[in-house]
Amino acid sequence: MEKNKKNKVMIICVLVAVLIVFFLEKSEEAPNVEELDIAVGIGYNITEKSDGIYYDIPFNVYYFQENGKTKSNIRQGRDKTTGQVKQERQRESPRSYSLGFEKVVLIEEKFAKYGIRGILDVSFNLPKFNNDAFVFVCRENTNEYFKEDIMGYTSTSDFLYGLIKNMQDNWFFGENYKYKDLILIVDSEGRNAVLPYIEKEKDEIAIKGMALFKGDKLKAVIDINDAKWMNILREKKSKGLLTLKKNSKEYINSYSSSQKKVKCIKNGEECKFIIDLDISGDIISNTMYKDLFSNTETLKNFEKLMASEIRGYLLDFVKKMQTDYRVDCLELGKIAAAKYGRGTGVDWNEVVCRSEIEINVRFKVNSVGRGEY
Amino acid sequence: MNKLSGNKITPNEAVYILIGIMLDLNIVSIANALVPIAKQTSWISALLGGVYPLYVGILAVFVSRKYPKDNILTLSKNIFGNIIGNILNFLFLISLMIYFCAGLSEVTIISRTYVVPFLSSLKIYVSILLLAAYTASKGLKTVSRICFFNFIGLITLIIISLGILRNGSLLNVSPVFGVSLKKIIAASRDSAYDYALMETVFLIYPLIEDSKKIKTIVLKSTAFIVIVYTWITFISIYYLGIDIIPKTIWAFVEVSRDIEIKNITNLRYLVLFILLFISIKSMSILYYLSLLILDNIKKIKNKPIVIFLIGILVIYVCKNYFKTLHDRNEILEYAIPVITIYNLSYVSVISLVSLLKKDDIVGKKQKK
Repeated sequence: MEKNKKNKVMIICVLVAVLIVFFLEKSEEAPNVEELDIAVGIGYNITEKSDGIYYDIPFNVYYFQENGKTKSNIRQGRDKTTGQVKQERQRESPRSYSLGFEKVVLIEEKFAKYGIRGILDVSFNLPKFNNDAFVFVCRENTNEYFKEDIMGYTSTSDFLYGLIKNMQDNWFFGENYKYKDLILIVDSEGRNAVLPYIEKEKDEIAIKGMALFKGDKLKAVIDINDAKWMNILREKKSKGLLTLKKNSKEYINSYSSSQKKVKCIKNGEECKFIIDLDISGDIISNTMYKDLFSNTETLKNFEKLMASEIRGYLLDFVKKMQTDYRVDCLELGKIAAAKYGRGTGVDWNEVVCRSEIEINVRFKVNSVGRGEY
Repeated sequence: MNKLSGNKITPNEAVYILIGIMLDLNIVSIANALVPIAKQTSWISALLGGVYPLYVGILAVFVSRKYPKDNILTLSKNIFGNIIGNILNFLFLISLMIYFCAGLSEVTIISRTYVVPFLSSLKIYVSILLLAAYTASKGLKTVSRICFFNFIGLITLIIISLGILRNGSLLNVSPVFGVSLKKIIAASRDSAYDYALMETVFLIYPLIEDSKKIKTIVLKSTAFIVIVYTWITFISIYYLGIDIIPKTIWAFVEVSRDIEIKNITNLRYLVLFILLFISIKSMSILYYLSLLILDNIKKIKNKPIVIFLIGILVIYVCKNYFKTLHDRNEILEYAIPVITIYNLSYVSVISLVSLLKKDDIVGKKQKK
């Protein structure tokens, strides 16, 4: 009985102590959602002035109206370091910001050429930052895109988010253009990031190609056709449209999926890469052959022709990559590093640009849909 | 659910407790500790590190055969006499307390970083310690129950981590033998902190119902721990790669952030919930063991007051010396080698002396 009483006193003491801690310690107030600016898109620009470089980082934010509609707005911020931009931005905004809902991150081409390490660092430090935001490189200042009012979309960010998601099935695009992939790729040995490149033409935003990075710096921008060939060589599995065209009346379109396998052989100092592509396609339009499916000979001929045509384009691209861009955008260095050792100080970009790249293409027709007309 | 009855724990519960005591929050940062040295072969180092708990466990098997009723505290008092024995036991207690504070501060820093930046560290200390203190005050049986749930949580964690297999690449882990054996072994020495506290098996073996089964208990728990650590290290390298891991602080949390499982949008919070649970369990066991040692040194008359005082002490130390990650790591950098060497030699010397002595030291003492 005596002991029980003592225990009870003890428990009360503990509870009082805990309550004191919880009420006397001042806590930070978490604001309501209505009082927040929710950033859905972040833009990174850079301006060079006489007293150094200025970072210009606008936020594309949602704000909720009283009638229940959501609109988007831009909040500007400009200062000399990425951290200071935050305090500058707050000077012209009555609300605080909430990160974690970003859909897209836009990087101005000029900034990308200057180097994106600053961006990666500032967002890697923030635990709240959404890793799943898609990253784009754009030609003009990012404000040009954010202020655009697109029919059917609350903000440009929503539009771009949808845009990139559907590129995967049509242009052999991969799915790793997210912020988290950028973190994984930029500093890894033998890897180089590529990002979709958008441009504004006659008030329409569209994907115009891809931006090739070397380390954290933009090295080259390639157009969408080159991007297609690069994606076939770069992605492990990809989907898109391939065309064999004789003239404007005779052509075949094939909706194909491609699978890639890479081997690396080292003789002496030089590396040799063998890329095997296994492409299988559904014919979606055929005005070239009359008897494609009844005649095995024609089918075989077509498959061979298609394979050699694709191979020609791919070899062209590889040549361009090795001589013009001088960057290993196919991530071949990764495979060589995994086989012949890491951390040896080899510049894989140089090695890949020097070495021989062999491409073998196998094309196979899968199906013809519901028939031929 | 079985009713909690009796003071003794079953062999299965002992396995859960041993897993629980060794496996702290350091699973999230084990890759960070090993990768700078052993690079892509770090998972082999994690595997080799298992030698340490195995060695301690095997010693415990032999000692428990000879003295099934006495834990290491009694043995040390019987060998070295009351005063020196008590001092040695007290030093052992201090090593436990350092792990206690280190664990508490780490869980606070992680949860403040990822989930609750608006809570002050003091509040997190108090809430976690309250739970731990309550569990510890209920005895080993309750602690073993919470360890069982922890075991389930761990298995969930590993199943969740399978979701990253699609995104990573085996290329990150190869070449498998690209690092010299010397570096692999050097790194496995660094994993001692992760495998530490197997020594506590010497404290709990008298409380196990069937003390003959201690061999299977030790083997089972060590095997499980080794598998978990090896897997976590492997999956971290598999996804992040050796160039990115040193940039992170808690590599596995970063891995779990990027796992995509359909219909679960906020997997990160689920993972952090499990991690928090793992940590609370560690705190409970350490709380219980501290009480056990204190009780052995001097009989505790008023348990609640001692529990309260331990809590206050831990909070004081955490608040003043372990508040930031930098402080914590700086202290641990010096403390861990000392603690590990002390604990290992404490356990080894006492086991060897008690095993080599022909006459039964305990029996003699009791007859006197």
